[in-house]
Amino acid sequence: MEKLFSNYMETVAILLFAIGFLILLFNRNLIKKIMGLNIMDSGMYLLLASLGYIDGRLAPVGGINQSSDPSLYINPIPAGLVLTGIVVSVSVTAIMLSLTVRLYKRYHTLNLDEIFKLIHQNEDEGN
Amino acid sequence: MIIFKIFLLVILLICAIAVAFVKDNLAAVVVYMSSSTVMAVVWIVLESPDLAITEAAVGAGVTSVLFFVTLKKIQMIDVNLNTIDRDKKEGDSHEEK
Amino acid sequence: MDFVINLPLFTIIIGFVGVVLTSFLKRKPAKIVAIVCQLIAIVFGILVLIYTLDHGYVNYQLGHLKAPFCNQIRFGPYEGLLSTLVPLVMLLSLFAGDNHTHRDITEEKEHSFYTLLNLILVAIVAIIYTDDIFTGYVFLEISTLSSVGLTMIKNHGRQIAAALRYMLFNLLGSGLFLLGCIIIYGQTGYLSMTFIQNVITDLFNNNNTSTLPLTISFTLVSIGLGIKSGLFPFYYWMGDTYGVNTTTASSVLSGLVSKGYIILLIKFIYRTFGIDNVLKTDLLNILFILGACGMIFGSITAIRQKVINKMVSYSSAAQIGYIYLGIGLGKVGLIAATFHIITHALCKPLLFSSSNRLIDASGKKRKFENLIGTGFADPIAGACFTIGALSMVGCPFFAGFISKYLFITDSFVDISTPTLLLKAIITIAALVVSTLLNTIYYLKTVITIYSPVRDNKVVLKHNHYDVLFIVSSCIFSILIIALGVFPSPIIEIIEEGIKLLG
Repeated sequence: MEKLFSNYMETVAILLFAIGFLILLFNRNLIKKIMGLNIMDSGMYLLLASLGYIDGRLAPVGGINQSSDPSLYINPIPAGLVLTGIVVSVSVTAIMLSLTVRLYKRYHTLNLDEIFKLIHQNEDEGN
Repeated sequence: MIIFKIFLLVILLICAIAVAFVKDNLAAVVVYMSSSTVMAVVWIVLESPDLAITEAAVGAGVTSVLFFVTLKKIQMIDVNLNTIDRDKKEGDSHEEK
Repeated sequence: MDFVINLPLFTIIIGFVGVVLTSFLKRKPAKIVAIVCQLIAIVFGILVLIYTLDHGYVNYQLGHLKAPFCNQIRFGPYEGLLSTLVPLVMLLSLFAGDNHTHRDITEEKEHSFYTLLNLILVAIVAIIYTDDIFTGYVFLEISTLSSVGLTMIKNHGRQIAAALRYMLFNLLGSGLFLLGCIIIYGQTGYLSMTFIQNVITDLFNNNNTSTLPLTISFTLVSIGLGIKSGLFPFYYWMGDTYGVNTTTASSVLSGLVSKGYIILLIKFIYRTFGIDNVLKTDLLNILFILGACGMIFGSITAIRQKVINKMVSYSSAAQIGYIYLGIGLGKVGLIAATFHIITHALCKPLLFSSSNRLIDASGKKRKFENLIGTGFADPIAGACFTIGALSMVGCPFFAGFISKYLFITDSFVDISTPTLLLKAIITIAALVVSTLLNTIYYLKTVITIYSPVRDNKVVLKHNHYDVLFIVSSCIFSILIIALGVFPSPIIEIIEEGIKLLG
């Protein structure tokens, strides 16, 4: 139990992942689902970046008089992976929001269950 | 320093839980935008300035603007920034927990 | 012939150039660019296969430094065979669905269709060749986004809801996969598969360290990729996504994209973790049981469908269950699983294209009672549907029979412990039940389309002859029958490739 408190960054990251996951699964509103997806991704990026942090060292930014001794800086690789992840998350959010707009204009509801009910009603009547 | 970090993380958790429980769509987007901003400060505390710049531009900037444009296109907000609750007018409520 | 080792990288680069060109060209030049890219990819794949059969596997570094400081690509005969199959199936499905593509998609948007197809080709070829777990994640996301794009390009309400549901499930799977990758990076400190395997072997052999985080990460990776490819019980999105799409899109999505995810899982088991370490954790047994359940429940869901498109898509769920059954059997089962990947990738596009032509012949009605007698209105489509159905059921002289035969013989190769004997018995029982269920719905459909029309009010349209459809379905049928009669060369290539895989 003390390990959960001494690694508080990772604990909060997993809690954010769980909160985002539950919002994605249980909320019926599409806009809230998309926000839950983003929160879930933020939790994962926090976990990844906290793997690279070393207590007491500086950011890996060099200048003219900075030394290139690697023991003065934190691990820079996880930061690069998080950048890729953030870009992917933005494009995914953009596509899902455009799908939501199209669905709302067609069915006038933001509730995914009702949309599928309307679709199956239309299919059973026509076709 | 540790107390400052724990304070930021607690605000982040409160914002995340608030997104689930707020009923109004516009207010939920504003809460999400504020949690993105707090996240950007957390990146600075973790000594990654490139992540902080990206998160501030992307999370609190681009993504939130996309959400506002979506809400405008489905006509849930009008120009005076009041929320029109179209679904409540039709008699059934879609915003559930 | 040392120039050949550059060809995998050139395939990916030419694919990207094709993507950029088709995004601003008009309809006809865009189609020509797409066809040229796929032909080049087929030729390069054959050259790579021939080269690696003689020279063994190749480590190709992509920068000035060696791995783990720079990225690298690793390929052998296994990767060469799969990277020949993928552009071949994509080209043939493009030809088979050409008529429907013109009809379903508006003219201004058709060039984007070819852009998305090229992106899927690039993503799957890169997943086949990669040796780095984060490169695998990036191309996984690219293939997810392009396959959602293919689903939503037809602007119907039904399509868009199906695309949204497909995207939500896929992103759930990606999230779990990324979490597994993060835990692997945290435990080992490397992102390159060869080096990760060495560290994981040391961690498993050392009795002082707990291997619980690695078990958790393997579970997360398998469940994430299983959700994306349609493992039981996560296959309920398949009916809407594959069933209402245009022909080329359903063929490519069901035949190639889910196989790409399974190939990434195979690479994780054999290259990143190492098969000996995975066998110590008993996690393959869970994939085995889920595959067996998927075979049975996928077929039961397919029997209950009233529309031919959805029936064919839910039978995909059963076939994916076969492949997971083969992966769960360990190293010997991988030969059967790979052969079934090839069989399914050849049969499913044929089934989708011929069932869509039968729907055209009945006047756009999709239910079974409206399809009576359409086999006579469109004889080629009826014959192709029959060939595909017989292969899925497992008739001798077709490719499906060889893959079922391989499953049975591979499961009985090693029955030394009670667990392995139990697995072999479950394999046979699941195969028997699943073949019976497959026969019920496939042969019922074949009998329906070939029964004579008794109702005088029903008018069936005779479809005009479509040269591209005839050419592509003939090539598919010839390949299926050739695989059924002469399977030995392909099986030898697969065995050679598996030896060099791990």
